Amino acid sequence: MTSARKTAEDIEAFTEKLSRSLSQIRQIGDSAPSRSPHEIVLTGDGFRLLRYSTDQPHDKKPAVLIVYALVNRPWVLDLEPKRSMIARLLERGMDVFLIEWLDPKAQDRNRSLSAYITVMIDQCVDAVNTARRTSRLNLLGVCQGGTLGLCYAALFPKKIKNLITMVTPVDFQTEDNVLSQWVREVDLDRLVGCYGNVPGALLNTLFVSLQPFRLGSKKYIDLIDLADNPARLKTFARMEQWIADSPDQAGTAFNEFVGNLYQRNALIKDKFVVDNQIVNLSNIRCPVLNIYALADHIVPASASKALANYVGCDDYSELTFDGGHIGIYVSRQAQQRIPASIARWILARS
Amino acid sequence: MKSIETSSATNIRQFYDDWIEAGEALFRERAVTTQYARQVGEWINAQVDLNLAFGIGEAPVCVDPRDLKAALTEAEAREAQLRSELEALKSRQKTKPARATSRGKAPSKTSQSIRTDASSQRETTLKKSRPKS
Repeated sequence: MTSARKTAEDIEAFTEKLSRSLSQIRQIGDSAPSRSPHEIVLTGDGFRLLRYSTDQPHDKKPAVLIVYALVNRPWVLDLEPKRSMIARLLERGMDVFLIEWLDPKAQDRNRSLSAYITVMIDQCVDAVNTARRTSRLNLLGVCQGGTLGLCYAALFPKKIKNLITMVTPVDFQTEDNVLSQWVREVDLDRLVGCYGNVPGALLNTLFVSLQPFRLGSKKYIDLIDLADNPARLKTFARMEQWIADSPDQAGTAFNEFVGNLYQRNALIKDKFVVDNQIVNLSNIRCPVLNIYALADHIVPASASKALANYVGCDDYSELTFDGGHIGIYVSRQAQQRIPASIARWILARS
Repeated sequence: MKSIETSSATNIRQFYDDWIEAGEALFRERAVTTQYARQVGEWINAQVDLNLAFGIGEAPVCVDPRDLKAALTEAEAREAQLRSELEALKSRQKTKPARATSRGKAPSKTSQSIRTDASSQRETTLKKSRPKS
């Protein structure tokens, strides 16, 4: 067979499989996440606090409060039963709480980071402690939520028993941080002045631009590998829905986060001020577990690893994951390893 | 990085994967250059300007230059630092007389560190009160 003929046959088979996958994905129907059972413990201005249900009584289990990023939806941590970090933590005997940020309304454009850290997170911490009749809890901060969690732990050290950060930026200006380089010249005042709340779609475009070949083309071509596998196609559809569903960002908080952290790297210079107080990471003396992904293109490992140099605790551990920023939430390898390690680490310190 | 010219792909799919990998690696090299980063920033700023030109949103009355913003961050941090030092001084001032009058209480760990001052004050007080008795 000539190579030209073989190529033509390859292309034909390739196209046929791709069109079959696309037709199957159209028939999937509802691809909403199948979230684990939970109850709403508290609703405040801009957030809801959820508590996940289990068959056993909560009280003797260690409480874990998850603080997720503002820039995406937290349900990636509970995408479907087999890909749910929350379900795995519940299985390992944790009493799991999650702060679900609500979309900022037009009138919330002046909401500051201080409101998120010293008001909303603090209200949730107090609500968890009240529900469990405790004075301290385990806080798990994910991505940007990890940075918020670090700020909270530095400002309210007595309320945190153990701190876990996951793919969390700390040094925002390491050499391999592409996102950081890109946003240095952005005129944030004009951006926020123009939009009020910064559109999630704008941020999405920026995130996809970080890996244009892979995220703009390859992942759709890879669909051919999922042809005739409805379960995996459904997972793909759920992931796509999650990626596209980025909430708008409260203008002032966005300006503070990008300006002070990405543009001026104030957190590690002891220049980051929240509610008139300097966020001093050396105030964090509780045990810290820092989890990061080695192939993270959004928060490079170097940005997370820096934490070791700034926290004031003696009990500092790291856990590395051989994958990327999204894989650490949903991949099979991560599902097997990360929640189990978190639970073990917490139980050893409870 | 694999080179497309030396790709060992035996089918069109492998060749495509090699092309993606090579493209992504090349892009990563360019993406971190100052020139590219500046262009991304300009692209975002241009989108904003376009919106403003069409009457979408409001241009801020005054935009602080970057160096002024950095100075502002420094000043805020300095202010917060001074504020916290002031609070510490105030609470130390408050603590001193409080220790002098709380005689019968067992000292806590924190009060222990300032006990020297407190007890010397108490001693002074006792000495002063002796002639009266």
